[in-house]
Amino acid sequence: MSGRSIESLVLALALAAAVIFAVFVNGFASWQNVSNLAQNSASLTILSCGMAVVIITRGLDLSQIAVMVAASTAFGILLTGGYGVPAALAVALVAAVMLGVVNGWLVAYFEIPSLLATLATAMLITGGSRWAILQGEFLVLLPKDNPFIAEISSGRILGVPLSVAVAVAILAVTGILLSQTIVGRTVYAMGDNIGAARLSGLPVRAVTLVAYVFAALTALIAGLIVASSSGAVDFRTVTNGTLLFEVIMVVVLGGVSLRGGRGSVLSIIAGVFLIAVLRNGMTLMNLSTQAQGLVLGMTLITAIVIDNYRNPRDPETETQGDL
Amino acid sequence: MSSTDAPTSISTRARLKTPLAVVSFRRVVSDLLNRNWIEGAIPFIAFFILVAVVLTTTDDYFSLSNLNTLTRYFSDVALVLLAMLLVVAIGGIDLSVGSNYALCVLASLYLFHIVELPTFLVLPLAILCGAAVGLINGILTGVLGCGALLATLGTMITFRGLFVICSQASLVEISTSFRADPVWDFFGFDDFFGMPFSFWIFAAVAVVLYLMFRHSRFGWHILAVGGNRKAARHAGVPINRVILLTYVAAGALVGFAGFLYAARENSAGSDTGVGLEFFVLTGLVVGLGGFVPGRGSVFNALIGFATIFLLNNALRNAGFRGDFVQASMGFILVAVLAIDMKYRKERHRLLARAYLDPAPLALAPVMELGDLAPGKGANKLAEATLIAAGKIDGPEDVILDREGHLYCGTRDGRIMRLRAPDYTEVETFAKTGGRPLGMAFDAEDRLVVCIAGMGLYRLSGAGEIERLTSQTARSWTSLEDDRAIRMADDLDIAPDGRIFFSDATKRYEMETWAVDLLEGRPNGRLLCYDPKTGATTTVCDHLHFPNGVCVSHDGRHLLVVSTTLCSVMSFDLDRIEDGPREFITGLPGYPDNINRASDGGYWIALAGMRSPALDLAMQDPALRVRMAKRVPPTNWLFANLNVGGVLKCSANGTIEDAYWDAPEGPLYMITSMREHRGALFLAGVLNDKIGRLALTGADPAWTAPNSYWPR
Amino acid sequence: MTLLKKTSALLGATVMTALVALGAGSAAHADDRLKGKRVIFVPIAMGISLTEGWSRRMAEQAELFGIEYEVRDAAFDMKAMSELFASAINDKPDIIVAHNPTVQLLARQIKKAEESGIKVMQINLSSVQNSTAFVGADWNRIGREIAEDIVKQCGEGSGKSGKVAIVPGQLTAADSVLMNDAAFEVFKGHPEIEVVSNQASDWEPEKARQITSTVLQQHPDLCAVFGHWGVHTIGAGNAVKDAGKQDDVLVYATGGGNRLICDNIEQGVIDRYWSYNADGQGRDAATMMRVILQGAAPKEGEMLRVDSPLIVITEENYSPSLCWDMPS
Repeated sequence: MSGRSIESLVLALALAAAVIFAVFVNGFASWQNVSNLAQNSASLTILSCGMAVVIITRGLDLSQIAVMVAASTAFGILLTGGYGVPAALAVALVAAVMLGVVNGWLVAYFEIPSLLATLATAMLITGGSRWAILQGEFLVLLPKDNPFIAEISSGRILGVPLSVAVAVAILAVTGILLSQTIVGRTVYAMGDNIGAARLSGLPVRAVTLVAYVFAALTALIAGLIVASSSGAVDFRTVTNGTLLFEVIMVVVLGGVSLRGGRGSVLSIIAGVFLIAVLRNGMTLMNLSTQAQGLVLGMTLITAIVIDNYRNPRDPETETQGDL
Repeated sequence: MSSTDAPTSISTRARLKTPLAVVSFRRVVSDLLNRNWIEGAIPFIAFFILVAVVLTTTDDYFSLSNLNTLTRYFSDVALVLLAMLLVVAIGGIDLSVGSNYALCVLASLYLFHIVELPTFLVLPLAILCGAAVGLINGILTGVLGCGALLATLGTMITFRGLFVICSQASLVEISTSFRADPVWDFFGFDDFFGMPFSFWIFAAVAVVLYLMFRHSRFGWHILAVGGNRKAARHAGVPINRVILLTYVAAGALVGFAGFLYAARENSAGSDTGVGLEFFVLTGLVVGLGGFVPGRGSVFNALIGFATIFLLNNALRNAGFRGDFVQASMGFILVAVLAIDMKYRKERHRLLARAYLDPAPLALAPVMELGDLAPGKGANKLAEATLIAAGKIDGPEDVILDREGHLYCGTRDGRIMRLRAPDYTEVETFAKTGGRPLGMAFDAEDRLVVCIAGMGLYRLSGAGEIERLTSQTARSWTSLEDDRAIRMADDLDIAPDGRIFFSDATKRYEMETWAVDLLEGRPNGRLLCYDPKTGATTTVCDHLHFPNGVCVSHDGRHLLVVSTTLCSVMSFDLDRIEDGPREFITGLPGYPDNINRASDGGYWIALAGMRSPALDLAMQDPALRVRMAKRVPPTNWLFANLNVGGVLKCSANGTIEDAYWDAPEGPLYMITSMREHRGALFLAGVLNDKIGRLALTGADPAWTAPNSYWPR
Repeated sequence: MTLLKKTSALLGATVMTALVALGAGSAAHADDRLKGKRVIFVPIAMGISLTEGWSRRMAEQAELFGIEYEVRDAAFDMKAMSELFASAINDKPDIIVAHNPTVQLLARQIKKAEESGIKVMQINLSSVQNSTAFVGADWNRIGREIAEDIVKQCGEGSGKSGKVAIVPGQLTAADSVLMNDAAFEVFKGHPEIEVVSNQASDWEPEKARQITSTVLQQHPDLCAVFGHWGVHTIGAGNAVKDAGKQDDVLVYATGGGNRLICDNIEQGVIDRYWSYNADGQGRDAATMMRVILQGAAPKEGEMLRVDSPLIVITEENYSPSLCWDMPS
């Protein structure tokens, strides 16, 4: 179907970009760089998995980065406060699940549009966790010498960096969740037509909760990886918003439609691949982050236009403004 | 024939009291829920509470100088808010406003400080810059049909990158420029009639947008496209063009805002405008109570934004830190959205539950009828001959003109004429579009009709329809706007030409009138239309389902039927403001129309009969509330509308004769009757025929037109 | 926290309060002139060790002398900042302490405040507009000193590649602009020094980490990383550490010397740290505040200046006493 061919198109584009960079950019085509690229895009991949599931239900989670930062803040504070890793992890896990439940609850039971609900919770979570946990601080520094953190940031499984292994695992889990489970089928059904899904007796509300909790869990895992490797949790990651938009961009580029019901784990892989290659290549070319933003933004626009050309919306079925 | 003592006896009957207002908690709740402005009132109330709190907790936060400062910083962001309102109204969203804003700030600064253009050139170029970004958004969303959220996310990232790259080259140079210009400073810094000039610009734009949404074709097109794109397209609205232009207009507004910021701050940083889209969106959501396409409520949006803006500023000013401010913003946003969504979902349910508002009502006991009581004699209406059976649908009233032609209204809104003498041929006399009920002929033999849902109308001899009135003055004791005449029921015309007519209920429709009966509240009113002045006045408000209206034979009194109270009251036409007097009480059934009889008495149609169970239930409102809540409407206690008949009373209201219909028909639920040349013509609102009953002992020459307007 | 710790903390706090109260009593006798004066601090954002450190010292002194001290937190929102500054002018305090995000943003308002008789003290980041006083670091000097050190470590005769990666916060921020200008001025005279990357990190550790790891990829022989601020340079330092080049690449940073950042020197994440000691700056600011309130004024067209002394902390001279703690 056309959805699938978008993925292959993006993959082909990414490959083409990789080839071009390999030929023209010094240092791109090295084993070390590939490993680097994979490591740098691990957290993005993990976040995209959660976001993709939410978007396929025809939702959006603008609070994902806020959850990520809040959960890893809780983890970091407990760790520096002298609690053990298991306790800190448990608390962070409970916090992430609760935040996911709140999001899902607002969307499923109050029927607030997800865009607005998660915009609001993002503010609430960011401000609230800084206020309540950090007493207003912007930053939590993690003890790099803690063995758990050292393991996450530089450990390896079978020669693969741990973060990359985790990303692959999450991709696999997402793939299974979406294609092999009842939850997955419900997710697609909801994205396709929520009214029909509800009327045919699918547990729409429960699955919405699951989707947002899943997004929150990916946020927690990505947060642990980011915090461990950079040694800090920084609240400006939320306020300046670039990471959030990058996640949405990855998901959408690969062919997961914001109108729901379309896309798969392949889309995430394709999207991440393209973004990671472009980012890495441009960084190697010493392009500034802003110039990279320009290129990525234009890539996104091009992708939207192409997607729209290939899957035009049916003017007979649209009612109110379709975002 | 007419007894001379009757009028005096009418004039000395007991006065009836009508309440000045209906006081009921349920009524207030349901009326409030019914008002459209109640949604807009929520942000309003929030705003005033906030202002009150700030007033009481600070010393001089609202000092003139601080107000001046606040409005200065409010104005340019408010312009961005209006831009967002535009695109949200069309069913889109614009995430790129922040980047666009930054770009326009930079363009203004660059053109002013480095190119050194005069200010009056910088301004249009800045607006042009914004409009260009808007154009790209518009092409993506409007022409190419991409989703607005994604497309503007793309332009947001792209233009942010562009802005930062451009600003790196020029910001340092800009920051070292010392060019000053009075016009530039005027926009950014100076006051004009005590307020910042930028505030006046914003206010002007807001007014223009308000007028645009209200009065211009373009504004209506925006709302149409936002409300339902498919419907708008089918209605011939050039959707793509409207969307494109809306985004361009929004971009231009952002450009203007950027110019104002540049003139004020003379500076930009790489984070100028970051997060602006979400800040503005927050204000919009608080003002509109959610994300509502197809609504261009400029005022509400601004109030919502003012709330957010003020809260933000006041909290920080009071020394609260950024994290706390952010958390409280998030909390408020969640609360507003949750309350609003709950309200939207529950409103109709709540309204339906609160709407039926029963009151205790003790009816006068049924009068002694003696031999006239139903079942005592023959059911005289069974003897009626039928006219036009199956050819007319639902004649509520029937009337005959001087020539004896018969007129009646039908359910589909037509007024039919049946020609004398055999009444076999049914022809459409006029099409009204409403539900024609009571009728009367005026002095010039024109038919005047009460049309439920429309008002009072007059038909010419050729059947051309002309509206006399559809509104009366608003009563100030009611929350509900009751200007519109909701259910004009019956009328009669006084000798001086004034038309008196009843508006049976202000709260229910033609289809649900029986529920008004169940409510037992004085929801109706008596109105008067004076053809000489063209004015409509409320003669007497708060009557219990006023129905039939008849001017007495001597032309000095007005008889008005109250269906709910099973009574007839009278008004003195010379002192109509004195209110009603008792005329007949304790009727055995629910009276509908009342008309003159040839002997100086009156005919009263009984649409249904009273039952002791319902009479008792009327005394207990709680029972009826429970019933309405627990039992489906088809099983509610109702008036017995299966049998009824016609009563004949004398000039002073004594019942003299009764014509009951037979349970097996063919006529049932008689709502009106007219005497004409010794025969009684009978109509029922649910009948498909008209009955004709020959009267014994009636004046065979008497006609109603002649009785009213003798020639 | 154990019960014992809690109790002792409580005890300590009580004793401190008592001492402060005693001190306040005697100080009030010493200088009644300052009582009831009003000072408003408008920081770029609270919640970072710099502003928290300054604010703590100023608040301390203000309480001691009966000065009303308020903070208006802009929380990294430049628009809000200028708005808050304008409101602060309306409140007519005696002093506004300004923390300029860019050299231009508050210039007009500083001028307006000074014209209406409010003394403006600029802290750490200066504006193009002169005002009564400036307290803070000399960015030019820091940039120059670091660049000179880089030349010494990586330049001619060092045997190193001479490759330097600069990781500024934002290219347009006042301190970044000044430090880069000074550094490039120094590098100009040393063609062997090659700046291989100058990408803004938006002050974020994670971004700095990603940029640095990619640069290391491309230039495995990198000699030095010059991070403009300690906080995000932690990310850059971690990238170096994770790549196992801890001993080959020198990581330079600047900052307020708070323990949280400072500890990273001990851990080898940051190698050389130019500290302007925010705690000391806080005391300078508080002192300046009192001096101004006592009527000190600069000469026409000049500013009262206190340039913060710098401490260069390296792995060699590191000692915990060089860093300061924010009391919790």
